[in-house]
Amino acid sequence: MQITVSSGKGGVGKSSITASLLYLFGKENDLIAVDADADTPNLDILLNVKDWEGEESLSGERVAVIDGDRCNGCGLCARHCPYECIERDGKVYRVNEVLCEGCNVCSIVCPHDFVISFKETIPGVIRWGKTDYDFEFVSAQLFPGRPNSGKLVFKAKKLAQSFNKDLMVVDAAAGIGCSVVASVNGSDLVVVVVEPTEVSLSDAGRLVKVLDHFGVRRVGVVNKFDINSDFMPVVEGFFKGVKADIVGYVPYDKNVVNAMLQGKPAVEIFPESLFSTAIKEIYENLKNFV
Amino acid sequence: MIIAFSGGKGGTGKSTVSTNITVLLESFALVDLDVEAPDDHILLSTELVKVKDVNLFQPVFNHEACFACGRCVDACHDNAIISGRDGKPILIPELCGGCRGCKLVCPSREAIGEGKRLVGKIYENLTPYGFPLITGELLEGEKKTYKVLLETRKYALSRYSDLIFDTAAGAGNSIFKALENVDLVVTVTEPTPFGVRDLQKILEVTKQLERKTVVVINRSGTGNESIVENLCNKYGVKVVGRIPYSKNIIKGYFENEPIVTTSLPEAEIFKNLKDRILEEACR
Ligand code: SF4
Ligand code: SF4
Ligand code: SF4
Ligand code: SF4
Repeated sequence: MQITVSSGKGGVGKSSITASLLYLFGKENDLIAVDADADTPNLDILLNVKDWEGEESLSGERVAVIDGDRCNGCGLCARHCPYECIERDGKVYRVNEVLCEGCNVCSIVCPHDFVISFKETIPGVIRWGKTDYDFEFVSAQLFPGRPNSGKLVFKAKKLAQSFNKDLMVVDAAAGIGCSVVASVNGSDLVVVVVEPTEVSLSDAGRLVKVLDHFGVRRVGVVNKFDINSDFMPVVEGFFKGVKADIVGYVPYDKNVVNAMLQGKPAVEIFPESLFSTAIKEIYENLKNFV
Repeated sequence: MIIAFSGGKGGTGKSTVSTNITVLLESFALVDLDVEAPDDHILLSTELVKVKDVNLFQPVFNHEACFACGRCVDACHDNAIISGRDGKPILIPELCGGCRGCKLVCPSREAIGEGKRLVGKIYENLTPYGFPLITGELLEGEKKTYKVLLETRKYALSRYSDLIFDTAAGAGNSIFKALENVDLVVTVTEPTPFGVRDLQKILEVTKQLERKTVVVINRSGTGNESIVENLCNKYGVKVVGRIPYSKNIIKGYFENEPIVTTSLPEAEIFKNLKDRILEEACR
């Protein structure tokens, strides 16, 4: 079974909530966790993963290279490049490798042979290792500037599956782009984390539309519900409208930042805090789905 | 002049800072390049009105005129074309990135027609604060973040010369494109281990792009700022402002009321920040 935690908007507290939920799930389940926020993976900080057991790079990606000695500077490639990543460099043209998506078009339109070639690049790595909490952890890490976080996430999930655990929990990226699509695709349940603001609901609404594409079941969690309680009826209306039960209300709690500074799930070091009480309730509710 | 706000990590307050600064600057246009989650219009109480669609090319195969040569299949780097039993191409639309490679290699003039796929929208509106807001939006279920960003950026550059870019989190190739050739990158971070790690990534990006960069520490006073400072020293970038954790700022955020339009003491912090940013951008 796969549960994915996602939020649409970044910075609503998704990783803190996920880390604490993982801590609880890990105690009673055969679990593997996946950090699918390939652009900005951070869960390893909260789960204290220091020694990675293995690493695999994503291969098969390529970028175009123009041979400056053979290029006659006609500029056809730059005009056709759909990603606008070929620039003039004196008399010849040059590919900005950071932006190139390896689509091939430049070499199709180049009137001369052997001017444009392709070289392999490694867009990112997948690492795995043990956490301090009896479960394994897989993290997808995209190198700066590389496209295709979706492929990386897909591969990270594949790798996690090969561990043959009963439960996989995926911490998805913010947004609704290719890595989020790869995260939610194949999920049995998506936990949508929001905070009580219009901005958060707007982004969550976009996320839910993606979930609709895949027909994925969803539940809601409201983080810091008490800091804007006037807005809570709107939040409740939102979740009703998208057919998601709210499985938890998490209050604002300073301990969350303290836990983050110490690199631990809050529920471990502040088990009696308001935050932890709410997380335990969410865990009990989510158990019904597992 | 283009000033870009970026952050590495999501939720550090990039949009709060960039909207407030644009309100103060008055003569700039704000461009929301966080196309997967564009929110500035909400913070600025502005209804979105579409000005442009973002379409991708998508081949439409005409099997009558097709020679079944298979070149399009070979040319497609996204593996979006498969060869049918008669050797003629079949498109898997979800995989097509719209690069036009297939059409460019096809030896038949009529075998591949011009189709399109709507992947995003661009909006332009006048905000109640008197400056224009340009918003790029990726449609739900679509994946071409880069393309929508590219088109939104191009549209904005064709309309105005003084721009504020509000970019997405992360450090992928669309962030590189967003920050390309800007005059100053203002990185908004928070003093937590998450914030610091992601700040390092974005500083790595701006170093590669050779862009002048400054840092704003948001929610100052809630974590450990010396690690942020050490990192800034390492990259040789300045901390130009500290925004304290403030109930008023949060309230302004909840109520979609830019704090700089109030007479609260926090408004002063943003005014100073604006001056520092302009100073750095003009240096
Ligand atoms: S491979 Fe595609 S994206 Fe890369 S430079 Fe060539 S045309 Fe541009
Ligand atoms: S199309 Fe070929 S020859 Fe012309 S500028 Fe590009 S690389 Fe050079
Ligand atoms: S436009 Fe590009 S990605 Fe789409 S089918 Fe043609 S070659 Fe493939
Ligand atoms: S390249 Fe053109 S003619 Fe050849 S198989 Fe494709 S569509 Fe048919």
